[in-house]
Amino acid sequence: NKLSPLNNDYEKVSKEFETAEKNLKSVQAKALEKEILYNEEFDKMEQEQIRRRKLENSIDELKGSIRCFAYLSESTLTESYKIDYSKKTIESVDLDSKNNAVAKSYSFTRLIPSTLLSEDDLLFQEYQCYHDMCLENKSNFNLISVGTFPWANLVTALTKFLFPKYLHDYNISLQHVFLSEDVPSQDLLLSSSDNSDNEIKLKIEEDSIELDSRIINITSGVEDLPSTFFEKRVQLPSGITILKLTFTPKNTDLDENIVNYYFVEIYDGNTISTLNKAVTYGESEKTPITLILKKLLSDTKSCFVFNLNDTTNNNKLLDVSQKIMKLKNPKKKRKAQQ
Amino acid sequence: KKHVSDIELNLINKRQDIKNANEKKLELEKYIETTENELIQIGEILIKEETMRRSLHNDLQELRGNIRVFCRIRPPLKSVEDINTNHIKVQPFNDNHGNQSMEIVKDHRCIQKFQFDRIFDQHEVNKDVFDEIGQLVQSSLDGYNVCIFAYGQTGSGKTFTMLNPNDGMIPATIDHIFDWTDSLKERGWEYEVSCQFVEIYNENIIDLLREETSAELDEITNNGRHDIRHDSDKRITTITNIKTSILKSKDSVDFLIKKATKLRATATTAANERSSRSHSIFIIHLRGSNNITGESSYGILNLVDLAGSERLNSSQVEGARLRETQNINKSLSCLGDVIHALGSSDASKRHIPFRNSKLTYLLQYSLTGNSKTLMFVNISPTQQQIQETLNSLRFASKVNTTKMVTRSN
Ligand SMILES: Nc1ncnc2c1ncn2[C@@H]1O[C@H](COP(=O)(O)OP(=O)(O)O)[C@@H](O)[C@H]1O
Ligand SMILES: [Mg+2]
Repeated sequence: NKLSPLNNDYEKVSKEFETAEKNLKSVQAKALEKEILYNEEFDKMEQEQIRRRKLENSIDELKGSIRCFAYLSESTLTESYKIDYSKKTIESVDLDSKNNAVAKSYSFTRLIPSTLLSEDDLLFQEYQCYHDMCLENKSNFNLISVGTFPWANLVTALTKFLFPKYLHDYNISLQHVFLSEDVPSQDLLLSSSDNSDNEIKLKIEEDSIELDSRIINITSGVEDLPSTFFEKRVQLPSGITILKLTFTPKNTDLDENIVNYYFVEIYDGNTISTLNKAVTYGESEKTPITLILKKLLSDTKSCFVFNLNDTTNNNKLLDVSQKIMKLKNPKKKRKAQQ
Repeated sequence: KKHVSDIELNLINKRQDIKNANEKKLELEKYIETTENELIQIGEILIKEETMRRSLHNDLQELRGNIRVFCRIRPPLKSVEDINTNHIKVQPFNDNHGNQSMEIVKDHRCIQKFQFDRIFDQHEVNKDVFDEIGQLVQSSLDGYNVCIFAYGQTGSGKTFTMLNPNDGMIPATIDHIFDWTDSLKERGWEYEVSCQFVEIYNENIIDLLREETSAELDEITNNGRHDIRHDSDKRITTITNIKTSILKSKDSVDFLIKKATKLRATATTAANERSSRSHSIFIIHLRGSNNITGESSYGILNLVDLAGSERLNSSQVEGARLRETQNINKSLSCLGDVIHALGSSDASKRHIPFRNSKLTYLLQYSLTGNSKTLMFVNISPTQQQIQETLNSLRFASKVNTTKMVTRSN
């Protein structure tokens, strides 16, 4: 029979296939087992990291100082700086006026390596505990980013962080303005044509900074923001942007439960100097921007994040950061009714 | 003809299937391998996280002040005690506040809440406890004075916590001291470790390291051979005529403890176990010197197994037992007052009644200045002991009340 060798072959191959199938199945089972184990361990790791961050946050809180995070990397700091992650300091050697070497040490609440952690990680991992704590304690609070150029990634990351996460428990409304002492202020939620010469009025109230700019109620998330929100910001000679959010818990509508949150961006050298004046003891200069900054620092809980990923101008940033590190956060004020 | 090619085609297909299956298997094996590697990495991260968490918890406690209070619940004794312990509810550790709370339900309705720096539930073993206090113990190597007390009624687990062979706080401490001093040698540090072991009974000091043959116990206590001397300039306390043993290795300590425990147990005067009516204090002196940097340090670690805290009703006892009872009550309440006063925000201005008992007088320099204090409140898990348990927890809470005061820098 001419067929039989072929049939034999076929039978043999079929057996081989069965074995291969069987082996595959057992490896599949093993892979699944490992995957389950991996997921469990991964969850445990995340849980432990959250626990640790909460403890870190409680320690920051007990110390009472304004939080100062530095976002940095070895490659962008010039060689005269040494980063010590365990001590949370940046060490440098400067020359004084007589050319003598002076060692300087800059300390921070956190040093966050930009090569390992993205802006998303910075917010979701390092910053989140602080944000949650302020909301839970109903303290008005802020996040102030300071750098020498616009930090678009942080803004994008912040919207990802805020929405839709907090929409579940809070009604959120939002305003976004650019304020400057040198150039016209702008309502950043309006297109530039609508904006022509509407100066933004700003009122410093007991419990908040009121802005007469467009208010958007966020209901679904990032999609509620105008497309211009994410446009690349041009580097202007001076000014700050304020993104003001109000968080109103969904289960109550009592005024006293509303929390105001300010995300402030400082991204030019002139405004860094203004910030420096605002945090220098005994400096009495009163400009609109210093008043705003002083109000934020004295009446809301503050967290600064310094973007040190600019090779040219770290000295000024480091100097102002150390003045801020010495400031205390305000004690929580009792609401009048209570 | 057609039939043949069908089979041939099937054959080709099957061969392809085999190849696919094998490729897929190879792929999965690679996946398993990378997963295994990642699991190892996660394991390492978990270990680091645990170390960091402990150290942060320690930082947090130091920020709050020099006094910390831990509660420990022992497991029910097998076949003797009810395993139902539903009247004690321990909450998970609160990561936001860095402390832990528990509730005691009495008579099904009255719920009382207590809060401590840490609560060790019945499943946590001595190693878990030591892991948590390791840093405190270690600070004595840096020259801090440290006091660790075990407080609680008789049978609540004080001696088990402090002295249980191998894993109790004293044996584990000694173990670690030798590990640490070995590792510090690389950085130029040499340590001399010595110890004393004393008992305070009826306001008298008894040397638990004495040569057994030296004298009868009664003679020793009556003679009042051992006096406490304070050198207020150097802030050093000495006990006269007391034996000090130099510790060279951890084995030498096991021997010492065995001997002392025997001495303590056999010193029973009446039918009652003496150890429940006296305080025992294990004192470790750590003298370090660094031949590279010229630095030196001297820290004292005091590990105290207190007398049982059960309140004996003074009206029911007379004579010798009455005096004993009064002495215990007085020294424990004095200890509570002292620790409470030390924890208050105006401690430096307050008069602190160290002299009111031998125990606090002896430990005065180890409780003040740059010192750290930990109190374990040991409690029994049984419903029958709930009143004593509540007494202990209230005592510990009183010691703990000033916890929220932030130490000013
Ligand atoms: N954590 C524990 N785990 C297991 N057994 C314990 C524990 N704590 C105490 N015990 C046991 O309970 C009994 C009483 O403990 P003990 O340490 O002698 O109490 P105390 O010194 O307070 O009088 C002993 O038999 C001891 O072995
Ligand atoms: Mg005992």
